[in-house]
Amino acid sequence: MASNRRFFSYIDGTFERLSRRSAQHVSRRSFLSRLGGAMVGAAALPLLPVSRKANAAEAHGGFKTFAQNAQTKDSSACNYWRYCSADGYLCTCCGGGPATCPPGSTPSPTGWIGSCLNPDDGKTYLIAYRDCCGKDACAQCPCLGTEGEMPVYRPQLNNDIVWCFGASSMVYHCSSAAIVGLAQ
Amino acid sequence: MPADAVAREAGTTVIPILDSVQDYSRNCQGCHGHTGISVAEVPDLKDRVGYFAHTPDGRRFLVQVPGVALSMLDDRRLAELLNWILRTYSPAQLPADFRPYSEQEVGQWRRSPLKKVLPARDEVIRGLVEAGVIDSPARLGFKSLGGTR
Repeated sequence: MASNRRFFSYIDGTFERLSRRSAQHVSRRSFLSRLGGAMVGAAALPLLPVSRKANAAEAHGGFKTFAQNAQTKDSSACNYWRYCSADGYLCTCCGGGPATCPPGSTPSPTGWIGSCLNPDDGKTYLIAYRDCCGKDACAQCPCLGTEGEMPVYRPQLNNDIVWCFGASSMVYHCSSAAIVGLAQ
Repeated sequence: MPADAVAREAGTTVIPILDSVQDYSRNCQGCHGHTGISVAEVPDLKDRVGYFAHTPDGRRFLVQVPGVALSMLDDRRLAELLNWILRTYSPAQLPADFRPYSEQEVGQWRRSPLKKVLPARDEVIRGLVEAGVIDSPARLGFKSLGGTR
């Protein structure tokens, strides 16, 4: 892990030093290529997660197109209901499951919590998005849920940050989505 | 997929998570952990954060850390969340005459989020030592600084 000095300089205002999980692979988002530099240390302090609020009341407004196209059967597809704010490679396609890490990777102890609408019961559930880390990027089933997505200058609302803080390494492998609870 | 099917899928009973518990999960838990303890580089809330409520500087600091000040919660919910965090994770460290955050205080202080968090934190901690709230700065050290949890 990086030295304390680098950690301090990071959290003292250098929001720019964010690493993109797929830096070594083709990025699907043009602005990701502008995120240069490597994140050193695991300076999560300014990067607190904010949920992508999936409100049942909004489900049938324009905002909730993900839920309108979601399904509840196939967890290897990007429109699987839990992946409304997933951004990365699906662990289901990488030898793991929707909420379990593939062998050889470790779940990050940090992550962020969003919420998705289950289209079958119309209820909103809190979903914990945790990255699996310590193994080269899986590069299967890339998905990009953009519920409530904001550009990186609003880090609390950005799901491109590598959420491997506290894991054995910052190398991103895949993303999992575990059901935490009912948000209503 | 009725709720029990979701529960089977989740492998557990799916319980409602509401109000400040939900606000905490959505805005803080990812880094600070559901027990108020997380990784070395993130300060523990558990058995620690209550100390900050002892001094005016400390009270203000908790509102001005970027994760709090810049959160998407409105002033009222943010004040409720801060009070919930203090009472849930660090009740034993609160002053006996703890005055909960008001919506007004939060609204005022969050307008000045800290750009350099660690120097401000160090200063607050010095004040806590001077006021006799804690014995030494190490009490509120990060593990990564060689302190103990």
